Amino acid sequence: MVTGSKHDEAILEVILKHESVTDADVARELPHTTAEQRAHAFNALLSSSKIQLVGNDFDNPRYRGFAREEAIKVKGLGAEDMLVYQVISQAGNVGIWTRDMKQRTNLPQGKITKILKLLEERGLVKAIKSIQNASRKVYMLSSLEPAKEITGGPWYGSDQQPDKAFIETIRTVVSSFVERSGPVTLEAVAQFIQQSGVSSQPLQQEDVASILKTLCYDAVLEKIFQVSHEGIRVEKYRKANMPTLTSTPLTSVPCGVCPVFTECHEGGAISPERCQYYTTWFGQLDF
Amino acid sequence: MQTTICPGKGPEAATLGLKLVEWNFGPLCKRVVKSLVHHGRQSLKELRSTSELKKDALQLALMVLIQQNCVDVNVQPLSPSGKEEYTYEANIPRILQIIRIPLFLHIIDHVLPKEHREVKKIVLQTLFHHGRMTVDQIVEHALQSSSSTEDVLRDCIRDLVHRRLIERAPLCSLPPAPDTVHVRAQKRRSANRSHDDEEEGANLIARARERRNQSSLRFCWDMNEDDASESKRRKKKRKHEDMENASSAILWRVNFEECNRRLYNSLAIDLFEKHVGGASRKVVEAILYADEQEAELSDGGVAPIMHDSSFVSQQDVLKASKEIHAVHLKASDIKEVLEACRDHDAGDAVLTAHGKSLPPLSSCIQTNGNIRFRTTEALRIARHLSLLAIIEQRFGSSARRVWNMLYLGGQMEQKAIATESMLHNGEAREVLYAMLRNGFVTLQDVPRNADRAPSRTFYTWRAPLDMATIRATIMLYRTANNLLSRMAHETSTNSELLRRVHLVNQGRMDASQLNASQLHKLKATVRITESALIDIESQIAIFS
Repeated sequence: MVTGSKHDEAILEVILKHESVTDADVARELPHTTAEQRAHAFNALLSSSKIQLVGNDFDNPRYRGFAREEAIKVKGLGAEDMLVYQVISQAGNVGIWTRDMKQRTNLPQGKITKILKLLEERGLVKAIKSIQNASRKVYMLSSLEPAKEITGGPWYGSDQQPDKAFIETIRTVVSSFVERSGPVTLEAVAQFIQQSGVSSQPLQQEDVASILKTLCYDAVLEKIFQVSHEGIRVEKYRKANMPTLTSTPLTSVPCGVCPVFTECHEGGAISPERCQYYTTWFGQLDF
Repeated sequence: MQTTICPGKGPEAATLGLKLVEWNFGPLCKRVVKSLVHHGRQSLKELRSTSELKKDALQLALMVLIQQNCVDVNVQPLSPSGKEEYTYEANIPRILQIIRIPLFLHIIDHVLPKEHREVKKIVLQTLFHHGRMTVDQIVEHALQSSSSTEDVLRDCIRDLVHRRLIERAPLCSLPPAPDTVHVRAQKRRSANRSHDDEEEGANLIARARERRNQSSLRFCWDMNEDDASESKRRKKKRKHEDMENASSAILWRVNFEECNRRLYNSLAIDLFEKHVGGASRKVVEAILYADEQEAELSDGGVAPIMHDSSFVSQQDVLKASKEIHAVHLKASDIKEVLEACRDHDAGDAVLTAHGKSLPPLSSCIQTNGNIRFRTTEALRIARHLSLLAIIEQRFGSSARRVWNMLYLGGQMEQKAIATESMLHNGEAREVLYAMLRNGFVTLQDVPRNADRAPSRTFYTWRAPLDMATIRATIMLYRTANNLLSRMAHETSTNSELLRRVHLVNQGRMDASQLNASQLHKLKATVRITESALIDIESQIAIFS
């Protein structure tokens, strides 16, 4: 008869040494153990909630040990609770929606809701609102940082909306750097932002690219291609050459910026003859 | 939904035209033009019925309008009664040029050579005021305000004809221009009507030939005196002749096409100078003048009508500058401007990956050893910049970013727009719907099912440039209408004051009896409104 208790502890020690292990990894470290012994050990450790399954590869499962605090938190959880917990941990930092949980676990919605409440009370999981769908909450492990697709990246505040003040600050810094330095590449701009320390959180190149795009749309900067000495086309950004018009003849007249322009007609309740904006305009521009 | 607009077409343009007619020629003329606008081309009998005017009043109004080139007269070859009859048609695009007259005079002042410039201006002012006149009439009127001799005046008139600033007024005996019928509105002909079709086709060809023959004489000066003597001989033979033959004189009028071409050049030069600076204005003016001179030499004395200049050499540019500028250009000035353009052009400016891009303004000037200026390119850029400025002033800087992004990036959903432009969802939605209400963007639904349920439909936004241009043009015409309405209201409110001013001018009242502050306020109001109208009109010129 195979007794697994001494093997359980040895295998648990191997698992705790690593982030996560497969059966092959354990076999390499404990060559004297047989496959049956390892299988029994794994089952025992899983049942006692000392280790958990991670990843989605069920042909070659990976095992991870619980941290001490975590082990305390998962103690006493039932099989269904652990099932839901494992499904959430497999989703990683992208999170999982309750409807998907229902499909994967085949548990009724009410049960899932109850389990999620329990797991949230124990601090094992947390709910995050997705930036793509504000009405949908996704669940992930408490210890994980949500992915960029969920939070929207560094430009979004805690209210899931763009942080306007932060964006404007970065835009000002970037535009003044580009105007000062002449045609610069995206890498150079990203490096400058990192070195300047204007942002407390690290900004990736794609984040900086978003800022540069908005500056191009506002005609503050423009993107050009330059051919380097080696004959390679390089994208660079420079101050926009195209002149911008701050006002036009149409917008210099009250009608151009009037909020009720479409309702205005001769003889009507809103008419040019009785327009207060015209009266004010004549008064301001008295020759 | 209107997808195209011709200059001077559309209800807003027609309303403005009617206001201008009333302002300049009185309510009687306005009534006639209104009837022509509402009912189209009409004969005199039809016009009497639609305008509800008496025969004398109608004829008087028509004479004024024809004299001022506001109404076109043609002979309809096949009327229902079997006889030829005169038809009348309002020319709204031409009526709208009335507002541009001060602009034309200002521009022509800069483009004419220094020799006899003031005399030529007087000739043009006379024609602007009187509409159409014979050469003798022009000379007679111009002599009252100019100290030049009759020969000098006639030479000046000939020069203006060669520059295409003056043209022959079209004869009243010409057939009308063919109606432009949309392809889908054209009637299908049956096989039995082949004979009628052939006859109609032959008539159309004959009419077109007649109009072509007349248009070839538009700027023909040399036949002027020959025609006068020839028609004097004919006068003895004929009993019933139309107005031009009976008067035995050719009538001349200002050619608004050429004036507008000069206006477009001026607007393009303004934009180019603002961007490049330095001596760029003088360089471009000299290029355009040199191009005109070159075309004149090659075409045997007739300057062509075109928008983009052809390539001219630097020597020709320097020579042209000596003729038109008080302080003429040097070779170093031209070199400086070309260098400035090359600096701005370092690298290819690309604003989008979708094939759309706005070329740099410096691309308006091209060199291949010689130099050329592309007015159409400059106007296209000016139009785009004006549109962006209008959107920004009207809807905010966020709207300008969103519109520019949609124009350059194509169709997008609202969430993608908010993400890409880094705006709040609510803010992006507000600006999109504000622009949609005003016609600057369009919304397209892409349903996933046949039931087109909103929850299963994609809604994408687009910013087509042509539609936005049309909307901006309509807004401009409406604003011009509003300005005129307000001016009319101010003058009617102060009618008593104006009556007193008139009495003072006639010497029948003392000036101290006028309310000075009220008069000053009225003058300021009229001045502001008139200058705003001219500015609006220059912007309409960019958009149309």
